[in-house]
Amino acid sequence: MRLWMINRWIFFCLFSLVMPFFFVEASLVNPDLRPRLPGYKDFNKGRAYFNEENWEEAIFFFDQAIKKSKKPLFNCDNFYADEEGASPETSSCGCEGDPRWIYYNRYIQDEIEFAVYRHSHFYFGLIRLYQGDINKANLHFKRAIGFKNENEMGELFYSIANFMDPYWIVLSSLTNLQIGHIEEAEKLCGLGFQTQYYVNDIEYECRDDKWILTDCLSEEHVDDFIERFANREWEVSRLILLCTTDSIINDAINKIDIAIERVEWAICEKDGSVRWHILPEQLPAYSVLYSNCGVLYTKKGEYHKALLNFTKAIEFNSLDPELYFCRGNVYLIREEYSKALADYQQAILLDPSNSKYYRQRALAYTIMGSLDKAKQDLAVVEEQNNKLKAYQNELGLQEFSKGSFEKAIDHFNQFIEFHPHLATGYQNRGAALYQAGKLEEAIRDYSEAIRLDPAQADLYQMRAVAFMSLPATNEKEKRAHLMEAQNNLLTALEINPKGAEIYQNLAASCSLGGNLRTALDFYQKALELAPKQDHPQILKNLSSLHFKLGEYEKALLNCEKAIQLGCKEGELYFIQGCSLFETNQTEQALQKYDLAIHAGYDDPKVYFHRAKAYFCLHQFDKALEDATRVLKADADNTECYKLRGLISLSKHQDLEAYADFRMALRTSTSALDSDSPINNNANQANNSFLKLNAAGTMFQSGDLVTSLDGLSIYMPFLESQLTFSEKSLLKKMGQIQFDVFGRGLAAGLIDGGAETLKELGPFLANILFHPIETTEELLTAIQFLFSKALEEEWETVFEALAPELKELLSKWDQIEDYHKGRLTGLFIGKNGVAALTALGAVKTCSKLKNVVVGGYKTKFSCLLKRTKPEVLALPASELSLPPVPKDKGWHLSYPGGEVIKTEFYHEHALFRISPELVQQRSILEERAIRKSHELGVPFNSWEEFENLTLTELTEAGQPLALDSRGIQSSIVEAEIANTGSTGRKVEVILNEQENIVTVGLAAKTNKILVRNKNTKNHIMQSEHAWDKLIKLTGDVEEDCKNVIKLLEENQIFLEKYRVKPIESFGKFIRYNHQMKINGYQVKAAFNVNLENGEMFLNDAWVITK
Amino acid sequence: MNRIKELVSQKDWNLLILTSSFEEICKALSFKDAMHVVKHLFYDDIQDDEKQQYALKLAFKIKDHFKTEWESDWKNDVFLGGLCVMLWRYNERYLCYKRAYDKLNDPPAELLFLLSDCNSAPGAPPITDKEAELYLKKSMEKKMTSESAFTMKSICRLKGDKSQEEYWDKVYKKLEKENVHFDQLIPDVLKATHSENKEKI
Repeated sequence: MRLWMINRWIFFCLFSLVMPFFFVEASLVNPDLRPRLPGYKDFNKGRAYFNEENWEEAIFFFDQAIKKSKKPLFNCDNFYADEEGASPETSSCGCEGDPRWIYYNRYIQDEIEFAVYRHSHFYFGLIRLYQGDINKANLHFKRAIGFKNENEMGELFYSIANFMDPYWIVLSSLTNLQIGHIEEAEKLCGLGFQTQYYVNDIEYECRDDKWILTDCLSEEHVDDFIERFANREWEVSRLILLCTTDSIINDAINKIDIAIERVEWAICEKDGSVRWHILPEQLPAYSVLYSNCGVLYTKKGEYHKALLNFTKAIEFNSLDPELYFCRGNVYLIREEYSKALADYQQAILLDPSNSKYYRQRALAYTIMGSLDKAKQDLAVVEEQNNKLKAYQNELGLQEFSKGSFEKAIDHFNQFIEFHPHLATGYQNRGAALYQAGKLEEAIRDYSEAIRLDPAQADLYQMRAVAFMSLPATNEKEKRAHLMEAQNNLLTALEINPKGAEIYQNLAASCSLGGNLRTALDFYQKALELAPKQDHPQILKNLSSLHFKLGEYEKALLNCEKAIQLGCKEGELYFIQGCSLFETNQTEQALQKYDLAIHAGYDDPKVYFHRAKAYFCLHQFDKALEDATRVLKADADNTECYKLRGLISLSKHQDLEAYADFRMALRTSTSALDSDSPINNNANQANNSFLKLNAAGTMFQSGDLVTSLDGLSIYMPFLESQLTFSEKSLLKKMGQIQFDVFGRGLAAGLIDGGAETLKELGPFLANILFHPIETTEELLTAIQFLFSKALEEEWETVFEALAPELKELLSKWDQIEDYHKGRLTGLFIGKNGVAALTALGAVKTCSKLKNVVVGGYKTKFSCLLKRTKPEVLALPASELSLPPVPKDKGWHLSYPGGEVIKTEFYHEHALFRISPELVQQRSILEERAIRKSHELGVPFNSWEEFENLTLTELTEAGQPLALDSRGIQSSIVEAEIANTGSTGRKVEVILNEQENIVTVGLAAKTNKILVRNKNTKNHIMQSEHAWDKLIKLTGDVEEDCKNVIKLLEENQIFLEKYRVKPIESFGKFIRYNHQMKINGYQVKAAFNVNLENGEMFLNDAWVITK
Repeated sequence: MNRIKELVSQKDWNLLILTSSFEEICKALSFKDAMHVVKHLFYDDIQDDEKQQYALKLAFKIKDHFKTEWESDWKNDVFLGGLCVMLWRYNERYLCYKRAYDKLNDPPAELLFLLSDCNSAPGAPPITDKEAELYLKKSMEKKMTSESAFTMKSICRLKGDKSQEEYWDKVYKKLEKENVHFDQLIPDVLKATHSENKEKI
């Protein structure tokens, strides 16, 4: 009984609270009040069908209504992601200021026109709910209450909260809960409750979002609600919703009662003790106590008592505008609008700077129908908000200009907190973050600012600059950053085609990407557009680019122009100096370097270049002085060590030169360690030069011991050049252990001799029985070696003739003494005395023969593999094969005109070997088809075709053979490896003698490869539900590995698990497989590239629906 | 603008996506050319995620930019749906197919068949299994092909209905033997190239 009474009472409270809301709602968003709204007729028909439970018809008409109706203005970045039925909305919201009020102010008239749209979506949602499709119901409820995704909730919800039925919001919340969007549901639930009270600006202090969700919207309630709702017990289901609020309200009432008791007790205590001695300064204290009491009574809904308390509070302190404001609110609730207005006016009189008084008065005016006055008040609100915003912003900018970026960030944080919908805050904070070196955060802020204000070119430009400054760990990353930067700049340019700075940044990005010519063009364009004061800077950049491009005259000219314009920067003189130096005007260059230093350009590189100039002019002392200065500032400057080494050398200070070269070597090596492999070759060559120089210096100075030390450094260089210093080698030879070397020598001699005999016998036999062929082969081999010698490929020649000797000499320092001895023995054993006689020449010839006849037998074949195999083009006649008649069950292509013959290609395409061989593949395939057609084999499936042709052709004495012209063995081998690793292995047997390639399917390798890293991230998303089958670690790589392992172990790729026909997408096709693993259905999608047969996993998930 | 045409004629896709915004491409090229650019970007290299993502966004841009041309052929939406599914945008795939469906009074069996596959997506797919089966049955009423028979066979297998599975397997094999397949839905604007390619080969 008591519960029933409380419910009744709660009902009454809610009703009285929500009354003003219903008033607004009824007057503004009820479509029945505006039958001329576009789409209203369809909506009305839909509603009629809805009442008749004719869902299909109802859906049709609601859909029509949505299409025809006017849509709210949304930011629709991701609109298409969840669109259903309705046509897309396109414009963006762009609300600024307090969204609720600004929206209210700006779009109050529009909101009336959105009624059809919202109501249609609401009914649409109800139908979906009835049909059990919670997902779609959720989408429609979202539309009904006016937001498209979670990001827009805060913004748009408040905008329309006053016009919205909380019932809709709660429905949306419930459906979110059902589809697992807990956070969204929670947020909406909170907002739903807020809506009811927001009208009066009274907030529930005891409200706790989480608590509400778990307590009020427990699963039990939700299930009950859904069930009843589905059974169309409208009233009961709505009652359930209301009942869920009981616990909150009871809890609130309890707290309010306790609070009131405390306040009353405090007043009584005060009254009892000091009532006869109230001092004027104590009056405000009394006022506060009464006003607290008033607030609590308001919350409890006892408005009469609240009014009495506020009036008493005003008596004690008639200058507090807050008290008038609170009393005004209570009058507003009691619908005593004129009294409310009077109180708000009084509050404004006392404190004209407080925007909330204007805002509340605007609400009162609105309810009273004085929309113009309401608009005026809202304009004041907006203006005051802007002032406040500007204040924090100003403070932030002041700190920014002082260079206190962290403090600036704090101010901007507050500014953003105050108003998260203004791009300026994010823009400024982004700039401060950028200056503080937090580039990624800066980019995020710029992006947010762009989202809010997409038409501001500066934002794109700032983001571009941040992208350009982002550090990159590799070339690809750098390229990606530059691409982002350029995209941003191009967008900026679209907005502001005359932005000279944008062109300059574009030029800088091109220059960073190595595209100097384009950079030049952009700078030229910037020069045309920029104001005159910016010209010197642009001219300087132009001259720098010209210099880099080797256009020294142009560089000089631009520098001169910039100097004439009054720019006296040292860098300009420096560029001039460098250009003059490069054009052999060394003395003039020296002057310019002096000018640069004089102008304050104190960079070490100026001194370095001046040292170079001095060196060229043989002023070695000055050169040495400058070089030493540079090295003091930069102790790792390899180039400068080199230069100083040369200077010392010129001054005949060999020891100093040697020390510098060694330092150059050391700094260069340490630089090498950190360099990318791409730079290694260049640095290697450079190193060789240094090593040689170091050794050469000491050798010239007669210090052989140090020279040999140098030799040990430049050994690798010598290896590549194959030029030896005899003395050094002899010295090295003296260091070996002769007993170990001797044992190796003995073993090598025996092996070498045996090999010689083995090779020599067949060769002599060949010469005896096939003199002509053998001689021809010999000549071919000599011709080959001769050509290699002409091309100076000495390594090839050396390797062919004496591989042991090459190994011995090139790896002297790396191999054991025994191995040295063995290699020497092998060389002497094979060539020995004969190396000095005519017989030696014959033996050498027998090796030459091996080059041609049995390349695979010697190491020489390795050398051959280095040259790229040439893919021969097929003769033109092969391309015009007669078309295969299509009237005998040969339809391999889809009738839509697609050339790809899916089944045939995918399952058993034999020639998906190399992308370069697509054309040959087609020809060979056509030939295969023609052949089987000639044999009269009808094409039903490839298995049958293969079996039949195999049988028939084999019986006829012909293996299934396809011409291999154009296919090189190395390509075939390489591609087998590729194909094999992708899940299907193709066996290729190459018989060179018969010039036949046979290809067939082999067993699968049971390996699954993932398409790319994005795919891994996608597959491991939570909604793929892998946690049901494996224990997730949180590391995507590892978890994905485990998933793949699971799929491989269960062999999901087997044909028997395929659930859909193969889908063709141009050059590739898609497979869908599904199987049960540990009680769960698992789905996997594979992509196969038709050109090379590669198969990759594109997606996989555990089915949870 | 000429730069974009030049890049397209040279098939320099990398530079194109590096230096051109979607708007620029749409402004510089005709509808047909822009669609071909999408096709090349998307299908030329299946592994190149960057290009594929770009192609998809470009396709959406084309849809907005060339509204009249786009709306004149429902198969454009089908094409877009095909792109979406490759990049895991299952909901959008459904919306594309549904848009095409809504444009037609009598949707062909091929489109109904495509719609019937939209119940296959991670998490909560845009349509239920029941709806999918409904679409499939509608498709089969219009045209029975080996593809639809194969799908029915798979559904029966997953349901554990052996006898039905065997029945549909027989139907599938028969239709396969008779070479009864669905037509491929290629947008009119892309069809010309196929035939051109064919002639070249």
